[in-house]
Amino acid sequence: MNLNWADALKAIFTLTLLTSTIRVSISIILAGMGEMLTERSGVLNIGVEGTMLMGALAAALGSYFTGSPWIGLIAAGLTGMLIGLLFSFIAITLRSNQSITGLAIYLLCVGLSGYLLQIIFEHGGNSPKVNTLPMLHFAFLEKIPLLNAIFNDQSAIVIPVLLLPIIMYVLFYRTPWGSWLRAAGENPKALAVVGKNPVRIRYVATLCGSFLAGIGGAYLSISQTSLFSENMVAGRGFIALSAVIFGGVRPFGVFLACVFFGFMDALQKTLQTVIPDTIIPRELFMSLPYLLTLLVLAGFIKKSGGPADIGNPYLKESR
Amino acid sequence: MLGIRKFFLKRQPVFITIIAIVLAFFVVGLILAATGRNPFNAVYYFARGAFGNVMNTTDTISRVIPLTIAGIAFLVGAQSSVFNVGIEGQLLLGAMASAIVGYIVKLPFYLHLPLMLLAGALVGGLYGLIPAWLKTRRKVNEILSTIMLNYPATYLTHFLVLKVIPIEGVVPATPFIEDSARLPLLIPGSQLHAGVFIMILVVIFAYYLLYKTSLGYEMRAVGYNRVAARFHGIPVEKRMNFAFFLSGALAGLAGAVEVAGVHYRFLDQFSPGYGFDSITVALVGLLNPFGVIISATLFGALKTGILEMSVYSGIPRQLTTLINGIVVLFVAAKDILGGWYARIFRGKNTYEAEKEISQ
Amino acid sequence: MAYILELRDICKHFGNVLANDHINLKVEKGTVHSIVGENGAGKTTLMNILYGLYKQTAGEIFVDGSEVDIESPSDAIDLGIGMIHQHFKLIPAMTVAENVMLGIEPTKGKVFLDLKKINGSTLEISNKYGLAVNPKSMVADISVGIRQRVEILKALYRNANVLILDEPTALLTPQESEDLFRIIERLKKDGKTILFISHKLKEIMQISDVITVLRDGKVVDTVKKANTDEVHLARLMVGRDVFLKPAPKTKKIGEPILRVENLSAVNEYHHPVLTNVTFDVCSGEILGIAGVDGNGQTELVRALIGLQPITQGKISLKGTEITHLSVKKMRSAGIGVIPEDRLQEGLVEDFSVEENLFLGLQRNQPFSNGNKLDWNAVHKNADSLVKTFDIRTPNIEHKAHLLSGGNQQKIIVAREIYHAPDTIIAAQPTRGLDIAATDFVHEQLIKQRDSGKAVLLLSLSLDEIMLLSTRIAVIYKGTIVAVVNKDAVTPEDLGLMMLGGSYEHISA
Repeated sequence: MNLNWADALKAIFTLTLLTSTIRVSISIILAGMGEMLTERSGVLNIGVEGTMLMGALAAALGSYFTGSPWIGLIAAGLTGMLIGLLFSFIAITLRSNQSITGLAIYLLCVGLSGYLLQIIFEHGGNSPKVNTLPMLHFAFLEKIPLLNAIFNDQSAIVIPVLLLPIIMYVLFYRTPWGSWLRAAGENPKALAVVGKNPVRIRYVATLCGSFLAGIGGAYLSISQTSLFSENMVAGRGFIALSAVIFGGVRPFGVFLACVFFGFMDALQKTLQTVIPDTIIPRELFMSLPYLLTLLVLAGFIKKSGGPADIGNPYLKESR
Repeated sequence: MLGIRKFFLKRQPVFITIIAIVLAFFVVGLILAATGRNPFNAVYYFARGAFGNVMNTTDTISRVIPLTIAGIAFLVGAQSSVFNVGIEGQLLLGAMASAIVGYIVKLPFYLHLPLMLLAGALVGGLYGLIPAWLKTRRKVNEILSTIMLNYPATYLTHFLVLKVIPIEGVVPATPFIEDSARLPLLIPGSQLHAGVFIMILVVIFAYYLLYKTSLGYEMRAVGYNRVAARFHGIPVEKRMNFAFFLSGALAGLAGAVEVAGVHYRFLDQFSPGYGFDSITVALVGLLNPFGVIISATLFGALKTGILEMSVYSGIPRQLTTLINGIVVLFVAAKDILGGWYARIFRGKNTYEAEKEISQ
Repeated sequence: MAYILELRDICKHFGNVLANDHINLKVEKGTVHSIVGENGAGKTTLMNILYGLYKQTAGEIFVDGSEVDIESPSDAIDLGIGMIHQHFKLIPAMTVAENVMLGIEPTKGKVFLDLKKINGSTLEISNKYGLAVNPKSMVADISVGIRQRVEILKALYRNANVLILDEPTALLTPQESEDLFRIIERLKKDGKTILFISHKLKEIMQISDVITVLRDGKVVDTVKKANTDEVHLARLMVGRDVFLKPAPKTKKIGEPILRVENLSAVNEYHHPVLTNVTFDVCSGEILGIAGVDGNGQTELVRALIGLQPITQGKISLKGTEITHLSVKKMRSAGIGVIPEDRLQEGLVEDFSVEENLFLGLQRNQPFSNGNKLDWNAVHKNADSLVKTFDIRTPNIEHKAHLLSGGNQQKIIVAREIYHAPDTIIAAQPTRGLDIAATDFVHEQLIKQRDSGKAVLLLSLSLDEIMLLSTRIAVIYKGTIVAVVNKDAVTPEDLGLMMLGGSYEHISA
């Protein structure tokens, strides 16, 4: 096999790779940050994939009918919250098994999004093209290659998204709400005896997390591409879920995990052009996030554990 | 009056599931109406599409086969409190294994067919042991791990079929399996194949295992009350591992049967989500083997009926996935439905009603 | 004299169970007021009412002379009542300071945590009361004793004047307990009032100023420490006047069947839960193990069936050692167990009555040939047991969870008794049962004793132990402190031993 590895590596590891990594990671980061918030409060929402899908649809619809992608963005966030509300009601208030509920939400969203797509646009598969979020371009950044790669020719929301981990960090560890959030996820009873309501905290965390997931989906349909197609989230929600686990449910850990998985995705696309598939198959890269997460879950890779009370419904002491 | 109450209370699980389905369909009907489609129209075309003529009926049955086997796969796991959401992946791997065995060797029919089916089951079962180990040794939630494992499985089969195994023709698929590995058609020209008998055998096997053997009793005890099971000397981890294996194996078998009876090769993306449908089928079937056949028939009919329906009444075929999701949602909330159900039928004085029942 | 706390005629019902029956309590400021009693006496219920976790069915609470309504822990905290629970309500993944300030964190500009103040105030208050802690340590990293200090600081930070300590020494080492008593003395000097809940006589006598004894939900008496001693307290806590009904005398005692020698075990934190437990149970007798809940009974039963890892010791059945066998083998060796937790351990609620009646025997004859079940045998067994033991169920296919508690217990008793060849372990066999069901179980145990079986009875009810036992062993802090003949001992003696009092004056 004629392959000059030096040339190949040089072709791969360029700043363009950095740009595509950031571009590809944005939706994962949004969903990952959202799910991290939810899980920190003690709620495991595996329906993130579904929420993202509905968010993507809502954004496309919003942009299509009003011409403004920003309306689409808001619609996506609100849709995400709505789905989050449904999930919260069943999993938190009704105390149903969180995993089964999450699964049901996922199935529901897949079906509902495909159905609505068909109904509204009269043909399956894709929506028509919609207006997208503006791209950033700062002339002065062209002189600084690294920053240029990260910020230029990226979607407008790249800046808030890259700030998310910092915001989350400050929220978790430097505000009282962050302490209460963490307490709700570790030992809700401890919170109850000091007069705070763990149920309310979990609701808020789940709703906000679903909001972010919705935005994460929106990015796919009104920025990364310019339309909604069936099942377009294509597993990113589960990758975000993996990233949360892999990152130890902590802001910077999860952020890095999301970027890492995004990097894997961007890398395999780049590799395709340079290294023939038969040497390193792209399917391996696509499987990597899941395999790595399983290794973390199995304990082979030590990550700081997540909240102690995750997945357990909270039962108030009887009066 | 009390007699009627007792009747309903005794059959609580059945009635609740029926209510869950009815509610689900009601919600679906609302969605249909809200989006400008006629729900009653839908039902008519759906019924016609599912059972209208012999062709349609055999089509329906051919879908019922994988749904039943996969549904039983989920059921077997669930009865031991093992929620195998990885059926889709195990099914694909099993199909791949059987397709390979099907075309790579030449053997007489009575050896080849069983061998390829066995290969499918074995591969599915082995893949199911991964989440088993994760759960029993590392306490990993299997709903999470099995969903995750679906992806590598899907990618692996995709990879194999596109890049490793030589392709004959245009469509991404493995080469056709030998005639000796195929399940014969029961009605020539239709889709109905001898896999129907395998399906029936699987149902009977599941029933026999769970309700007529000591092993099945132990598996169910583990599923209902792990603590009590351990207290009485039942090896909980061993039973769960077995449940994982069996569930994966049946999922693999479902895939193998599809290869042997319908496609005669591993066709990329041949599974229209049987893995997730199997969960709904099993839950609606109340985790009872015979219930699973009935529920699989319902959902199989749904799939064929939907096609006809979407052609003639403009209702998108994605409706099935939607119905799927809503049904699972309601069934998931079943416990709560159960609470309300009990309250309605028990009336105000729970203690009296309970005494009545137990005396 | 103003009382800082007064409870008048407090009653609390749970369904038709009366947990607190017209409790009257007057607590003076600056004292250590102990509330003592056996399990089920109503102590924890009362404290939960005081802390707002429960609401009393009747009665009034007065704080500093004014009547108050305590609807939630927030109300209690506002009134200056703080509670240190037996099972700490702390967040291991957060620091000491974060835990102390949970919910009322000082902030900078209402948005950001004032970390300096959080750590500073914690240090301040820790110094003020002499409760040395490091505000920046993770709770996960500190010892149980220090965790308790954090709980106390939590209450003090919220300006608690009354501190309720619920069984505070339950999880402490002796050294840590001594530290705790020093802290209590210091708090007293600072004008705080302590409500000390316990059942351990020695520490009650060491720390209290005033002692209120509860029994069966009622106040028996309130005494000043100076006017009482261990023996007197034991009598108050446990005093019995009348037995339910005289039990038939033991007929004939044979050879020891179950022999336990020097059994020791530790829990997952490596604290000893059983220490050199030695006793044997002979055929034809009932050995009753008396003790307050949490002194090793649960662990003992688990060790006897093979669910508790043992660090040393030997268990033998009819001469054959069975110490390290699997659960299944130990059961097959001939032990029947009526478990403490009827629903969790004894039954599979979702199974039918008949399915439950052969639980554990699903591989044995006649129910199975090892693999295939013989449902005829199952039906027959069920029909026969239902009849013999009068299990009230419309039919044997009925799901077990639909039956009343008493009938559920009958299923377990029937199954274990019927199929256990020579030994029965009955752990809290009449817990939660009504009188008729209790009588039934007692009758069965006596019957089994008379038929030559060895019966090991563990119960939290001294009445039951005295009623049924041939010999009585007392377990305290994981050790058997004495084994006596039933006739040689009074309830008060037993109470004394169960509560850790000195008992040299009792002859074994």
